[in-house]
Amino acid sequence: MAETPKANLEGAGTAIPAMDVGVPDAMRWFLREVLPLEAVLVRYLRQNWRDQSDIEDLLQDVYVRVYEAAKRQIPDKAKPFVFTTARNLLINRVRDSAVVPIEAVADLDALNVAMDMPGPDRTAVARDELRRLSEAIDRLPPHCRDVIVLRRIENLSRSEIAQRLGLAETTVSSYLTEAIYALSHLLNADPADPRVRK
Amino acid sequence: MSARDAKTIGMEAAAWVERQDRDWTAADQAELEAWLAQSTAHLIAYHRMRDSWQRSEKLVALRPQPAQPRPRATHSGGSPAIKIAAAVLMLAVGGAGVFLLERPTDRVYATALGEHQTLRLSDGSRIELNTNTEVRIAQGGRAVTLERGEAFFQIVHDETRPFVVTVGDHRVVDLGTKFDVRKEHDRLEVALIEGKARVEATTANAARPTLLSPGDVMVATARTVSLKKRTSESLSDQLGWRRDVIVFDHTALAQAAAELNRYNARKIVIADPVAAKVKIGGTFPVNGTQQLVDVARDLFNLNVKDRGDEVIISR
Repeated sequence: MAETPKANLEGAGTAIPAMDVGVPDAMRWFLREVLPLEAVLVRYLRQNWRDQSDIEDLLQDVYVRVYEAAKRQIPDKAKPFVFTTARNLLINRVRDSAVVPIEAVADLDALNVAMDMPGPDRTAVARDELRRLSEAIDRLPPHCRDVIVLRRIENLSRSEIAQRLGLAETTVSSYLTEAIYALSHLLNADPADPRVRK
Repeated sequence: MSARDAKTIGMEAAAWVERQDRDWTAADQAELEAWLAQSTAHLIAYHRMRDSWQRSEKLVALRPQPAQPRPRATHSGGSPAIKIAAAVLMLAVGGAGVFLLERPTDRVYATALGEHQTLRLSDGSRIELNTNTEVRIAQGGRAVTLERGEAFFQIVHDETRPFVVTVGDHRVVDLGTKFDVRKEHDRLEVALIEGKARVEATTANAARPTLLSPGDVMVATARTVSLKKRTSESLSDQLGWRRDVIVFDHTALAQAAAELNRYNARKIVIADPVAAKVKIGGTFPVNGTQQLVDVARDLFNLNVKDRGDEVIISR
């Protein structure tokens, strides 16, 4: 065979970015199984934690715990594992903090309910991806939307975008950065999530 | 609470992903890896940002079809291109994807400069897209148009449903195959790695079809068709991009620069006919613009002028 052996890109799914070759298994699992749960997870955190300005940090802590555990062993079922982790985190937060009043956590016993919430159906996710993307783009602040449309749809370089919009290239880069950050929320959130309504 | 708040880390991660979409050097990679190693929160934030950036790639499907000539910007503000794109977006959002309704059968996949992506078709066939490449896959998945760039096809043969790749005026019909197709302006290059394939012209007064066997490389331009045999080693070098490398072997510097420029926004310009003919060899990462510049400067004592977007090499 003329072809050289290579670390190949076997795996499930339709399109696998080849760059993922160097990505550890735990991270692949995380991106595939955990990230799509974000909308439900954020809703759960919001419902069970009083101070809404903590949500972003709580989400990060849940992710870190889930990923650290997955590095040791990838859990059989992502969803119960993620929600158990979230629940334990919330309980610990309440316990550790003397100043957090009791009602910080709305109803710890009711937390199990969240595990039965329907998760995203994978085929539906794939089918709706383009719609979801365009909706997300639509919700971006205008300066972010312009640069990402020119970069992704028109496939222009940064210098071309800079010229087109009369901006410095560094400004284009910082708008793109902002757009990437905002997209990560918009793409993974559910529409009722306040992060979506800028 | 966390040592550092999630928003700060998230913005830093987004900045990394943005930086990776520009030119990217080994030094940048090392810096990124150091940042990722600092904490799990960094690692997760980075992959999360990269995931949404990669997903946004599919937006290319919203490009008005067929590809329109890009309107020239006459002034800086409120360019027509943005208005067009915004209009398309609105239609797509409001009307369940007008683009998809108009062309219910085709799906378009594209990679940006320096990107590399593998598509898996439902029949088990695979298409690997090299840098700056666009393919259109028709319904049923057995007819593909290579609009630009280069792609490697690994086709599951089906006697009853031949797999056809259309490139400009030519058609490659698989007869159980692994092959590479590269389109550059009017030049078409087909390299057959395994199996058999037939290349035929689609124009009216077409010449006889060309049958390819393993090791054959066919190059067709508007007027000429040539066929040469290559060793498996040199074919594997040619397909180095599948491993994200470019292999040079007694390659003229000008050609090496052109090859790297295919993958990178930062372009190497060889401004000197003698320097252009210097022969180099070695394996470079596809984003190895700086490495090639270093080789030119340090090994061949050539003059290097770095202008940011462009590196000028001369004697």
